[in-house]
Amino acid sequence: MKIVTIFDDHLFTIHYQNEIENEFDRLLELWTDVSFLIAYAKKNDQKNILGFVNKILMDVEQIQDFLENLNQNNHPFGFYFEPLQNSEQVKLLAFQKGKIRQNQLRFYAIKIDENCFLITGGAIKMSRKMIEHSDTLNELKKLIKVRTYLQTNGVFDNASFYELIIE
Amino acid sequence: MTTKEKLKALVSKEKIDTLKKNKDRIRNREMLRESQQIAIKVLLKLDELGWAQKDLAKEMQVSPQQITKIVSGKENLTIETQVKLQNILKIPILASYYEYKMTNKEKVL
Repeated sequence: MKIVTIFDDHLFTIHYQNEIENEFDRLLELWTDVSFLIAYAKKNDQKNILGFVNKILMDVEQIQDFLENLNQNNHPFGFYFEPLQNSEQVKLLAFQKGKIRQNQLRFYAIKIDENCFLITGGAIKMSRKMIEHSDTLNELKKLIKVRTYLQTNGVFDNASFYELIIE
Repeated sequence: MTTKEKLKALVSKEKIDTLKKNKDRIRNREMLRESQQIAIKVLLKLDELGWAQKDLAKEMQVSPQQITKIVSGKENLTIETQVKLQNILKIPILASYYEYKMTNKEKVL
């Protein structure tokens, strides 16, 4: 695997050996591919296929705008990422309050420091917990694999997992 | 050495064009939205007809790869392609679809 730079010093992503593109580019391509989205909606038993596809296409545009405006914002990158476990707990609370997070797309990342993150992948969030859907479970495995790679290369002993949430 | 410095020692020198590609997508957003909506109509109609993408390729006399591009919703489709899709699948893509219907309605009335 290779680590490549999206934003100097702040945002990096992985380019896995078996993939043509790095994870960030691969996901933005995938989430804007209508034939993929329709197949995904069917596979995940979505009753309103048209509604699902249009919602994801809108969510991707939100990510595109977020990325475009990122260097104009003054927040450290840590502002946009939430610790994985906490966010799942928050989501439960939010769900109970009727405030489900709107954007269904997630990038998963390892925190290097407050202002520096390494994106390991992403998924369409279909379940509350990552282990409840095969896609997010796979993303969890990728996070662990990359953490092991970083540990093996002496970057750190321990690292926590984060997700990028855009609202 | 900080954690970030250790990470940066591992980072590839390869330059990626993620930000440029993102700018292009935003600049072409209106076109892409239209292309996406056409792709949705095409795929849902294929389902309704029970056609595979290769059936559409045959009807349109194009390669299956061309259909793959159309249904990805990322292509800047030519008017010729749009007319073919509209006529073969009987789906509304261009204003002419409605204009034809209106004209026929007027004739009936």
